[in-house]
Amino acid sequence: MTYDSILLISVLLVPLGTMFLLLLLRPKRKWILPVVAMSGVVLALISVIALIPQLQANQSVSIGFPWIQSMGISFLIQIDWLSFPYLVTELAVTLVALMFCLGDSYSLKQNKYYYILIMLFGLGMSGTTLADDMFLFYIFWETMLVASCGLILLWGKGKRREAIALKYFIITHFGSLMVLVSLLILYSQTGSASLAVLRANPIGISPEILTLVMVLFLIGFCTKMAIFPLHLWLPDAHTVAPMPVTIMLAAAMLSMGTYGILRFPYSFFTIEQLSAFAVPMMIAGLISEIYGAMMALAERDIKRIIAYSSVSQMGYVMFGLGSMTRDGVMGASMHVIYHAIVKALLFMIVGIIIETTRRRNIDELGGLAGKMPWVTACAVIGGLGIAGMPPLGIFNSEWMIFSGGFQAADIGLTVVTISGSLLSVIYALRFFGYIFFKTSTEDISIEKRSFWSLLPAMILVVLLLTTGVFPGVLLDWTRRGLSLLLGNGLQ
Amino acid sequence: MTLGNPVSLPILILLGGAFLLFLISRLISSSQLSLGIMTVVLCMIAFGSLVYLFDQTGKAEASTIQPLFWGSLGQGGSILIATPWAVVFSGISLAVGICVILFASGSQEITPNRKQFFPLVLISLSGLYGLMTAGDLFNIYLFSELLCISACGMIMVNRKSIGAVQAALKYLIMGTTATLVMLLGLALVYRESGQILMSAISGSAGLWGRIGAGCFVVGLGLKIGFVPLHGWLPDAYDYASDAVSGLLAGVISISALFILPGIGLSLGLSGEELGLILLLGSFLNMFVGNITALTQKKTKRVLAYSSIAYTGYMMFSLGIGLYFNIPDALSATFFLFIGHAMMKSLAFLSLGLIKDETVRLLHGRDLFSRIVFFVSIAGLAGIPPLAGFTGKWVVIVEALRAKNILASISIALFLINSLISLGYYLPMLRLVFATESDRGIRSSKSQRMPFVIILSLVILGSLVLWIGIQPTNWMDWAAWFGSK
Repeated sequence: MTYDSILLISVLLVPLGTMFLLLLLRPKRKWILPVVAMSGVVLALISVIALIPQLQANQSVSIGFPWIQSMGISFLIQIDWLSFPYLVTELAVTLVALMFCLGDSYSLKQNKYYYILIMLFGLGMSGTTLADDMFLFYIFWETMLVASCGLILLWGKGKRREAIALKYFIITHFGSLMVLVSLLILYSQTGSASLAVLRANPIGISPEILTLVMVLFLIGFCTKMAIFPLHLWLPDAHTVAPMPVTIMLAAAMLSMGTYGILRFPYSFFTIEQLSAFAVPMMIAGLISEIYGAMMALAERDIKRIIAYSSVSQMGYVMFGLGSMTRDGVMGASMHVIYHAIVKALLFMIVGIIIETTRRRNIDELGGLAGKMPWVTACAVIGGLGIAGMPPLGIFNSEWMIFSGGFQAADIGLTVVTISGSLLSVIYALRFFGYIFFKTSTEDISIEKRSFWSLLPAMILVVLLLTTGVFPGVLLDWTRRGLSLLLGNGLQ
Repeated sequence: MTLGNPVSLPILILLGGAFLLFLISRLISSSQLSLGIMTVVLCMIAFGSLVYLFDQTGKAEASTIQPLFWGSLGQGGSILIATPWAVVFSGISLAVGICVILFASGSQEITPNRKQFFPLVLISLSGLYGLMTAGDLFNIYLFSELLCISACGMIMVNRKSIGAVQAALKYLIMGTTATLVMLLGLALVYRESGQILMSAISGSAGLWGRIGAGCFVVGLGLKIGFVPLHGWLPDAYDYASDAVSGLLAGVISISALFILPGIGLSLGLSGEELGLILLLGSFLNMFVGNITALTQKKTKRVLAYSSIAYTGYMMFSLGIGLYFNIPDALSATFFLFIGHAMMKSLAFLSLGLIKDETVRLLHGRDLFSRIVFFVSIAGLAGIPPLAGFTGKWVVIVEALRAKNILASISIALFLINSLISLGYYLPMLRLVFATESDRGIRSSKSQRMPFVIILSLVILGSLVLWIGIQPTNWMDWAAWFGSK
């Protein structure tokens, strides 16, 4: 086993070991639990970063063990330039979510199983991203779902949490089943469960089977991305889940759908084979963008406003992917990363507002700018970020997505999508304008919060500004993965 | 009868053991634990004889006997044939049976009628072995009856409950009806061919033979719980003690499904006909089982209806294999059966740790019982990497080989049903996780869990994890089973 292989496997083993450690711990101070969990994630993140030189030299690092040999299934994990940015994003989001727990009184009251499930949720996402075998991929994919559902079910807020957890599980599991069927069809057609084998050899399947596989993949992954009309699980789940879990759901788990599309259909098939799906995907993205934005405008609950904005933002991602152009696909991946930063930031702000004011209806809020200046600053930057204001990151990714749309020669669709982005500006302005700058008729009392509650938000602000002004690193990461997509048709 | 013939050994050990055990319980010791341990020892001896038989199965003469005491109906008489798959199936049933007996040794539900219970378990296991090894229609009838009566007795072990008595009576009436229908089928076949040996009838059955085959399909369908012949099943599982429910749901009820193809094909039904019957029947079982389970309030009834649905899954796989002539689909059915036997027994047994069916008591126990119950329910729900997921994966892979519109529709229906089933499995998982303080419930009095109960659950739980996480050996077995 080489040094790189050890680093790679430790991305999964370190969080797993941390979970066992948490299980054994009986801490007297509650902050020990999130700190132990954070240290596990930090180590995993360091392992990933340490793999960069090897990735630059060899493009990928992998490690595998035989598993169910009679079915050609192995425990095979691999990191390459396609999975790298997604893995870093997921680990970073898990880290800031745990950091947020340090300042979140609700999270600090919870027992070790809460943190173990958060770690399992993160592990599921990391495993999904690294899996290079379809059987293994599906196991991690479902682990992610089970852990997140458990968190909503057990620690969700509100009387309806059980019904909402059930709804979340059933709808997203429906999507998982669609993915499973596609995988099984590919497995039965090719006789191999290894993604490396499927990528290496062009899959010669009939157009009818190709259409079926692609439709099922799209339904499955769009369910995870919460693309309209498969978004039904999202607003409720995001509203009910505890705030760190909401952050992970919105900022990291939604990206798994995008990753799935890139890792499966876009890696297995050529641009010629998939060209028929380009316009339908762009239209689905456009509808989701506008629908999500309008719902965000219509909502009164501040957590649901941000939740619906995810539906809208994932619409941009789908539009970029659908363009099947270099800029569009790169823009989609960039948008996922920027969206993760902005969404984590905005949900933290919402969490702070709800906890300090005990209110969540936007009509009951107002005038908080004077009382919470630092929170206001963060919210304004986050709001402008989601609105796509330069030089904040989302401006860059939207630019590339729209550019991809024009390159795809769907000018009409692209123009409508750009026009639709105006709605994002409106709901973003309404969000922070109403909460912080509207004159309030009553004096809202603010509860004191610790420094730790705002620290992760400030880190995200810095990250958003830095990656927005200097997007070179992200561009480089996403560009390197392009060679693995659509039969190298994006280069 | 050649008593020294190894094929008769398991029956002799189990039936003789049942008689001996009853005598011991009356004359020497009636301690529940000692009776349970003696039963386990007898089962292990029977298991050992099966291992020996497994080695011998290659030698046809050694594995076939002509029991004299049943006369010589037809030209060939009645025989027991220890085919490799029959031995393996019986071995798995015996293994599940051992776990159930261990559990029952520490279960308070069994205590009042322990003297009857353990011999009845042995009789039912001998009936199961006889059914699997039966090479002629008469033996099938005979051992079905033996299985039915012993199962009825086991259900009534919990006879303080009027529901249990009613359920046992219902089971007896339905079971007897089934065996009578099979007897009618036997008479029709015998009238036409003068044979009862399946190998002799094979290929020569005419109209009466086909009607006889229909009678056997209906009769076995009643025993398996084919919809709409499933009326007895929910009550029986619900009112029986948890150990009995585990044994019934895990192995006894489903056993007849594995002799159905052999009977149907030898009595003149084609693979396509039988496959189509099973395939269409599977849709009924899946939908009725899953949808009705959604409406149930008692956990045990939910599990009972989920058994009907799981029977549908196995019928689906078997139907695909027969209709499209895919031998590996038969292996997949067997693999699914192994996983289901372990998971369902585990589910009923771990539910048995909770003395009441209400939510309050379901989470009033320790972490161990919760983990075990979680493993069984998550496995049944098909959550990876547990046995239920791996089983469904294998079934779908084989079904996809058919590359046919009927198979595609069937797979879609199979998946829809998997999804529906989450509607009742997930609320059960919620109960596992929920804490008492969540609901403002006072903790119920905790009591020390007997070691035998822990042991039985650990064995079954480990098997469920093993089948799911490292299924290679089991799949090889299943593939070998399908080839036979």
